[in-house]
Amino acid sequence: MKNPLRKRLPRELKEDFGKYLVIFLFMVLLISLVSGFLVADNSIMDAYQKGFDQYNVEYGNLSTKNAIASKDRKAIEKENKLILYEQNYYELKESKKNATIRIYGMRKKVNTLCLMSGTYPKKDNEIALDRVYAKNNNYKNNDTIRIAGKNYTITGMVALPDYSCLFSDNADMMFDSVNFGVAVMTEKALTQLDQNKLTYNYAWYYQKEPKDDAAQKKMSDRFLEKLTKKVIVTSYVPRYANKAINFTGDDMGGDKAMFILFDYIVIVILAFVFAITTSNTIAKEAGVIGTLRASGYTKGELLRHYMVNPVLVTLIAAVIGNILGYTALVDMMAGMYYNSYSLPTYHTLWNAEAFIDTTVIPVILMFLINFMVLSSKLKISPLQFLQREITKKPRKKAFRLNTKIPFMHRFRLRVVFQNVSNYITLFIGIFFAAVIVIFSLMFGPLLDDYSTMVGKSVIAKYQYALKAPVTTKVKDAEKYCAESLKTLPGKYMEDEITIYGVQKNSNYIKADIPAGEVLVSNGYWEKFGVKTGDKITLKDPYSKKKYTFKVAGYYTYDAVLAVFMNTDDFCDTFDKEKDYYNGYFSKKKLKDIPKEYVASVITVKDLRKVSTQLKVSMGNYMELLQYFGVIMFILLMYLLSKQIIEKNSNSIALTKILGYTNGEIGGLYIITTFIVVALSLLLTIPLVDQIMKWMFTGYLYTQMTGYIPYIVSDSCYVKMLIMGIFSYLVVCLIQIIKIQKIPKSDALKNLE
Amino acid sequence: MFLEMKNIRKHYGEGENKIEVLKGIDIEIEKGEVCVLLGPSGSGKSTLLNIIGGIDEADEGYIAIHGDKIEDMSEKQLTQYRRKHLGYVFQMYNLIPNLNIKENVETGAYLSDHPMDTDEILKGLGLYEHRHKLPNQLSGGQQQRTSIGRAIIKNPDLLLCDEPTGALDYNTSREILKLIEQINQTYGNTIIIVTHNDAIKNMADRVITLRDGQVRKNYKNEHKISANDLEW
Repeated sequence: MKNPLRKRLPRELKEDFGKYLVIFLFMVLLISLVSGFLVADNSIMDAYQKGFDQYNVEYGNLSTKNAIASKDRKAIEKENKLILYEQNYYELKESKKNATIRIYGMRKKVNTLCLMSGTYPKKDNEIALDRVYAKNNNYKNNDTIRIAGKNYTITGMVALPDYSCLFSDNADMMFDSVNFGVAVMTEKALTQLDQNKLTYNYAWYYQKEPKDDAAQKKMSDRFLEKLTKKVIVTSYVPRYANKAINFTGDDMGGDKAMFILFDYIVIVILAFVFAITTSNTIAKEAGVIGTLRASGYTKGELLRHYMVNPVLVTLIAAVIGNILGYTALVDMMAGMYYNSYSLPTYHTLWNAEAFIDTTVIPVILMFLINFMVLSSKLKISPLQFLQREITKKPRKKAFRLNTKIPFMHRFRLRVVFQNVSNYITLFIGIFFAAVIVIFSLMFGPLLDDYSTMVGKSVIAKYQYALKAPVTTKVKDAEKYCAESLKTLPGKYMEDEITIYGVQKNSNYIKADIPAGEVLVSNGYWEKFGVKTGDKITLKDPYSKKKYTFKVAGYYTYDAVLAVFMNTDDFCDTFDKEKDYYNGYFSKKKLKDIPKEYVASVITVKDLRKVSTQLKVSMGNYMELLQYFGVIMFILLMYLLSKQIIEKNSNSIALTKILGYTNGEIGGLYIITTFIVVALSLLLTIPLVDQIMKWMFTGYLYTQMTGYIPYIVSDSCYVKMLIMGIFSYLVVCLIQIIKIQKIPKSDALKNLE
Repeated sequence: MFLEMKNIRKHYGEGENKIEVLKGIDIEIEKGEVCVLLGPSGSGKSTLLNIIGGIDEADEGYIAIHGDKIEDMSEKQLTQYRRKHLGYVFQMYNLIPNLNIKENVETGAYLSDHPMDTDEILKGLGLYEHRHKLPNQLSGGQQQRTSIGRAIIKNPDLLLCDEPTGALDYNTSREILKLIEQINQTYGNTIIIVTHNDAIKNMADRVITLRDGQVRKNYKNEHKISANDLEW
């Protein structure tokens, strides 16, 4: 005979439809988002990785001062067992937006193109644009784009496999798909461009494929050593270190971990919500359970009975969530990546890992947490159930509350003490929802603040990097020296550090730098936790040479990670002539410097790339998280305050009989929960602050190069408080109706 | 002897709050007897019933059913003992609110390897026409009959009834007692009824009176009358 208790299951679902529905819908939402994301991530990752072979992605590229002579090229190829492919480009300004467009010829053998829409250019006045750049700047096929004063018709959108992420310079902390783009033209059209903007660039491809990154590094180090003996190399980027190629893959891996963690945490919270609501049902049915246990039902039979619905709801939500994830949401989630990265087309793939993460593990978590909580709840003896002593150590007496406390306050305190477990779960839920909301709210103001800070701490309005020394007549232009070193591998990723040699009494860097010591930028100071007197060691990216500096303090410069030293020390350290310099700080444009001497001009706009790009890339995520956080606020507040009302329905009915009005009863129960909600929201602020700090220093800083300060604008906390309180007000309306509906006869039910 | 209790002692609380509820109870009940445990509130009758039912433990002494001592049983064995041999009826009916009458009775049938026919039981209880109703659609007496049906459907050796008429009016109480008597006569189960209603002793084969945790009277009722003739 089948257990007749199973007949209760659909009826319980129907009776507590509200609770099951909201949890079910929330789980479907969560699982469909996570599943959609994981499937998209996996499918795109597959397309991205297959793209390395499909599009013959280079093993590296290098730029030279002059074109490599054919004889040298053959010698290099033979000596290093590789093939060099000419991949020259022109870097021009787009007339309307002043963005930089790097234009290549049609690639045929390496880094071949993926046509996303339209056609390849065929005429001299046609161009195919990188899809992401075009999207960010509202260009469509057949539009006209004006570059360096000449109009071009956009024939198609392309993805270049060596620019899946639009880094204009490998030293950049962040890519910038708004102000930097790549494009292709016919070879003939290229010859008509300004030849001063030509960069001699070569992609190389090893004849024998290196087995891993370590082998690749070894081969590229050896190649560089030999190469520099034959040509003047101006840039050298092996594939394993090329952010434009690798950042996409690394970022997708990091996002995936975050999504899975997010999925697990929310499921754990929902599992606790289920466990607590089921515990309340057990308390309500104590007499029935006592009778069943006394009649011979085992604890296991009852445990299984109470666990079926939560686990079943999770399983169904997971299945539906997955179906939605694979169908409706996969393109939306993929869109988030396609908004940021220039990726080739993908095909949705079955992802067993996503199935485990979004179905198997949530069901296991739901099972384990409910098993843990409910088996402990059902541990008490049948007699204790019959006598309704539903805690293992029943409180003998109600503890005293000072009678000077007004009656209504004492009543509210009793409500709090009687519902401690519900309120603890509510607090944890509010805390987690607050983390999500703050995380989603903080980035906008943070990036704005950071952008402002960068603007304020910028060294000079124009910062010229020179290819060779050249003089200027501009009076306030100040010479400086700069080198680029890298941090050593360790807890953090290898970071690019700019070493500045600063003149004594500089007008631009107003700091007293002691001889033989250095100042580090505040970002370096914060990120690496450097203190005065510490020694820091950096390495040359192109050789094994290491440099150690003694830190005398920090200098506020938010734009990049930097080290500041005196020019004398700089020249000594890097073995330069005493009058060496390779840049100018200036308040004005240096119009008298020939363009061929200028390697780059850095303005505030360039330094603000990070915040600009992060805003573009993260905007969608943050909006999604914000909605998710608010839904979570409402869901938890609804479920747990509903529980409190239901648990106290006898008392509420009794107070009605005593003559209390619905308003007064609401004042007792709803206001009490409101106070708990408001206090929880306030209490979460310092906790959220700590968690965010930890996420920045303990996680984010280890996953990114460069530095973003940890700033949470006060407005974020205010907004979070408003969202939380508004969410509770929505819930309040439902609870007021619920209180009104409790019949007075409830007071007479189940009383012994 | 079907049921044997020797020197059962039980206390609650410690130190100054220590209360001796049972102070050495010795009782023997024969198979098929209807035994009424009488006594005022706090006399220890419900505690004794719970110990017999294996849902409470004695501090001292033992209870043996068919020679099997309850004290020697593990928790699992106790559950199996209750499952196979006991039926429980409480003052509060403790029916499952979202199962109908038939399904509530079936929760008892599920526990037995050879349950009686549910429909037959329902007919015998006069509940057949109400079988599809939920408990809250029935009167107190009908609900108590359902709880008795749930207890007897597994045809238990021992039916324990804790104040089965405590929440019912006179007429309904008499109906319930008649039903219990009928069950005893039909199936031959041993039945122990805990009550503070002195009149009920008249339908018993054996009457045991408890006071302050001790047996004050224990006698075979030579003038047993039908439950139908009970008055109070």
